[in-house]
Amino acid sequence: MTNNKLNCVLCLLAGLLYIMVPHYLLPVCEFASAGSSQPHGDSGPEMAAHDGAGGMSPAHAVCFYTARAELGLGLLIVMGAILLAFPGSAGYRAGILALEAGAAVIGALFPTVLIGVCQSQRMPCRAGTLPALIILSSLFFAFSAIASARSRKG
Amino acid sequence: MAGLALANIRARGARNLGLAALVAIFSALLFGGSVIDARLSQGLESLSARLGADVLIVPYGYERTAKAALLRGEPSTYHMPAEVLGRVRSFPGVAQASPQFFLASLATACCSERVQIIAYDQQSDFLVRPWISAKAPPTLGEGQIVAGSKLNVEVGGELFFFGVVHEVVAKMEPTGMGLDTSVFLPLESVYRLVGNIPALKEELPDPSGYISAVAVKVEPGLRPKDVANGIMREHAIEFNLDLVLPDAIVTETARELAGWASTVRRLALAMWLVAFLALALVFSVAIGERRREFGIYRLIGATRSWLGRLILAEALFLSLAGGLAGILLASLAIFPFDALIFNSLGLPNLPAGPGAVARAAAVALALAMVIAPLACLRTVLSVTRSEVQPSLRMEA
Amino acid sequence: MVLLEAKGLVKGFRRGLAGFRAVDGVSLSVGQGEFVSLTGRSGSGKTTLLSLLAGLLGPDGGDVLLRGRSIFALGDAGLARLRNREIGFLPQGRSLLGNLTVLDNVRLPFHLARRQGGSRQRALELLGDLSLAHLAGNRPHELSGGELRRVALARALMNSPELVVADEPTGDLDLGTAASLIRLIRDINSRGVAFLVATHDLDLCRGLGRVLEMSGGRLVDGASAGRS
Repeated sequence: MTNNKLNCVLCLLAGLLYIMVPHYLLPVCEFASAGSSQPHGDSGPEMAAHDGAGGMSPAHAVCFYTARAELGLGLLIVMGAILLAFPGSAGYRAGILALEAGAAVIGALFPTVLIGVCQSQRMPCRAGTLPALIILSSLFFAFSAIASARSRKG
Repeated sequence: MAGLALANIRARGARNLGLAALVAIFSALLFGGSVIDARLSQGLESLSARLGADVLIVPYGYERTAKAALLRGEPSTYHMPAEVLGRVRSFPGVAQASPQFFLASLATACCSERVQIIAYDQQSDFLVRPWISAKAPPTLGEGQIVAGSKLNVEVGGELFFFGVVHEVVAKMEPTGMGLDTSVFLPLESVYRLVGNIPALKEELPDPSGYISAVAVKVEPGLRPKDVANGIMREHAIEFNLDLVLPDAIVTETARELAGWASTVRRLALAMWLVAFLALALVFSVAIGERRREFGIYRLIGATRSWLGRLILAEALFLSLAGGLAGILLASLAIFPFDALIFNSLGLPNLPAGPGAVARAAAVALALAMVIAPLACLRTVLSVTRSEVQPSLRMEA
Repeated sequence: MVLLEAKGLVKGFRRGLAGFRAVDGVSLSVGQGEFVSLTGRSGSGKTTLLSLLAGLLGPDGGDVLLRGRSIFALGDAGLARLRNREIGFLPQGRSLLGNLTVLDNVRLPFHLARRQGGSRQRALELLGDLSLAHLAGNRPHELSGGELRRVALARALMNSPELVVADEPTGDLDLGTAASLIRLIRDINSRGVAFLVATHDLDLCRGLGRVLEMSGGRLVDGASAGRS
């Protein structure tokens, strides 16, 4: 497999992982409790001021929005992988890979700084989704940064 | 020689990657298993030390709920008449008895989970107080709470539940148990809070007449099980009681742990053997494959022992790479996901000290590093016993 | 001065049930700085003779002396040192290591000798002498037949041996490349390095020095071919 094909495949894989990790593989709280038979139902994340008084319909937990953001990011990364498959100069490929590296950084920032996840260590999003996204982002960043540098050399 | 050994390893990259992967799997299993085992054992020691009570008397049908609350901090609300306390206190063989009231909160803030509220009697308590940090005030006043170590709030901060703001005046030391995600406050405070919960207010018009559990310490020299059975015989039917023997939890958990640890060790051993056999096979095949290459080395002045050392160096690098890769992979799988792992196992989770982790890594690496050199020993011996002759006639 | 001397060398092999003598009572000598060509048809015993002279095979009879001392009295370490420092080899066929660059192939004998100092400079000089410096970073599979042979020659010269033994150095090369290689060998010989070259292409070596002919395991025109 040529280098470029390998880069395409790995970017595609990364994009799919960004979509699947928070929704299916190590899902955030809402998706975890939707799929699980555990009685998380009434111990799931709830909004403040819903302290037995009722009345307010629950909005989504913060980890839900992180999952959605990672979905969007994953789609962008997949698009980048598709663009890589088109013929182009070394600079073109290096540029796309540099963008993918930037996307990896954002992928780590969504669950930590930009949006966040639930606070409790026992919530699925903090225990599973967050470390998985950070590891995925670190590895993907390292790969795409190196691949971008190597592509520049032609 | 190191550079040449590495170049030779790279030359058969795919095959050597597979061999290193076998070593990596072994090393990951052994290291990962050892770290989890060390943490679980530490948690178990902590569990045994911190459970404090010899017997817990709870309402009938809530034995599992109480265990879940203790081990995993799964919040729950249950109660029985406060009269049970007096009966238990006066039972022969009971040295100390202290009541507790358990209450599951609703969310304390956005995206946090329900916490277990544990109310205790400040006069008779012997369970909670020993694990509160020394800097805490000697008694808690109205609106003051102690927070478990894993709750995301600091001393001086506030938690809001049941319509009341509570000030965190101290934090518990880490226990690795459900207590880490619990909050602790005086019985009197909880009785007042219950008035704010419509569902409970209906059920318990006079909350001070109810408790959730009685923690019992038996007289020295007596078996907790015997005292507990006596209490049950006398009062279980009348008050609909059940009991939890914390020591039994520890024994049961220890048994589960031992089984788990034994399985992992057996898997690791199996993996060591698989890696050893695969490497031995590959090295012995390689001597035929590399006859031309070895012939060239000999032609330009390599001794037989040099050849042997070259093969050993290649083996050592393979083992080292596999061993380190395995430790790295296991670390990536365990340390970032430790909360997930221990939550799923339902077992106490305390961080293993750096010494334990370093020891586990050293052992895994040492055992991994001997695999390839041992496996290639036969090849090395045959090469050093002049099976490979230099030749002027090289195959194309 | 006689550098290498063979005395009554005999070497036999088994072929099926029958045995045969590939080398049958050969005596010869190579002097310092001399160029000796060894010719003969395929199967005449040239390669076996060269292997015996280089200590790559043990004889069934006779001896080989390097500067008056028997090479077969040396142990494995002694023979390895002989092959590393005193005699260079240019074998038939492809003899470079494919996983090393051209430069590293040439440097290898230096490191086997555990010599101190830099091998890179010397290796680059040798490659430069043989017009191969621009290929130092390439791998053997990227080189032509002639280039491979020249790199093997550079490797053989790395530790400045007094004698180079070459088995069919032009064997699979075209005429032009072969002639070019022989010219290089001649140049190196003129600087004092003795050569013992086995070849079935006598035309290439004509006029370069003494020519010995082998047939049926023996030297033609007498059993002894001393220095002329």
